[in-house]
Amino acid sequence: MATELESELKTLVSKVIKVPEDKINPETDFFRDLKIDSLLAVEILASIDRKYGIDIPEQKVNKIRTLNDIVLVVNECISKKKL
Amino acid sequence: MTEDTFYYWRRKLQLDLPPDEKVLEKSSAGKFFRPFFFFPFACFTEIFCPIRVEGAENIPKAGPYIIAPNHVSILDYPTLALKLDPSITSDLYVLSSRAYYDVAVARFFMKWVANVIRVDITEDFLGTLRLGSYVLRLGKNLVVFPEGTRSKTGELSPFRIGLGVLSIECNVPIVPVYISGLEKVLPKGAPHPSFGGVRVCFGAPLYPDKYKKDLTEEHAYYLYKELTEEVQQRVLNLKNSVNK
Repeated sequence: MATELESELKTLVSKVIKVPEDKINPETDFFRDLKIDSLLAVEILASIDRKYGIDIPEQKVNKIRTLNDIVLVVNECISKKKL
Repeated sequence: MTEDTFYYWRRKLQLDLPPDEKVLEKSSAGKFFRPFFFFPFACFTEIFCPIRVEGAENIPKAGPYIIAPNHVSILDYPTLALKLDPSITSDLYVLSSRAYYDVAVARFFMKWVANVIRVDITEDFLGTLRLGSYVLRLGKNLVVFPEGTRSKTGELSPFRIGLGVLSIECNVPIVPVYISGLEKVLPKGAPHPSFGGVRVCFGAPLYPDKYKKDLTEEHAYYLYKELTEEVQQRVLNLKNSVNK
C-alpha cells in the first residue's frame, strides 16, 4: 500500500512530466519506460526542492531512475534534515 | 522574473558564485603543438576534403557565445577550429565526451592542441552544464554538440535541452552551424577517411532575450526546450539550403 509520501511524490512527478499517475508505478523506469530526458529529471528534483525544501545531493541524482528510488532518497533527506 | 524564481538552477549552475577558473586550464604546450597538428590536418583536408566556409560573418564580434553544430564525425571540432580565425579559436572551448579519449589520435589532440573539457553528460548531467556555464561566465566561447553523439546516418538527432539551459541561464546567444560532408569523409566507425567536399555553414545567432522575458519557474523547462528546438530547426534549415 502506498505511503503518503509515495502518493505525494507520484502526484508531483506526474505533474512535472505530464504523464498520468496510473502510468507511474514504483518500478517504472523514467528514462527507459517513460522516455523522459535528463533535463526533465532535474525538473523533478527542482520540484521536490521547492515542495520539501530538500536538496538531493548530486551523487544520488544519477542513481534515481524510478519512483521507488525517489521515495527512498527523499525519505533519507527528510530524516537528515530533521536531525 | 523575481530574483529567487530559478533558485534551483542558479544553485546547481552556481551562478551566484564565481566560476571556477580551473576549467580553462590548458596545456601550455598547446601553442607549441598546434602548428604540428593543424598544418598536417590542413594538408589532409586539402587532399581529402577541401573545406568551404559560409556565413562566418554571422559569428558575433564579441563573446561569449555558444556554437552549436550537428555532429557526424570526430573531425567536426578540428574542422571548425581549423577554419575559424585564430583569435576566435584561442577563446573557444569544447565539451567532449570521455569516450573520445579511447581513441589515441583524439587523446593527443585534446590534451596537447585543443581547449577540450572532458565531460560525461550521461553520468553527470548537472556537472556538465555547470562546466559549460563556467566557460561562458569566464567570457569564453563554447562549442556544444547538441545531439550529444555522432549521428551514424547524417540525419539530425533530437537536440538535448541542456543547450537551451546554458543559453538562457548564462544569457548568451547560440550560433547554429551545419557541417556537411564529414559524414562521408570520416563517419562514425569508419576505419579510414574517404574523399569528399566539406561545407561549414554558420547561421544567424539566436539570442535568449525573448525566452527570458517569459521565464517563470513553471515554464522554464518548456522555454529551454523551445529555444533548443528553434536551434535545431535553424540547423535543419542550413542543411536544407546546403542540399538544394
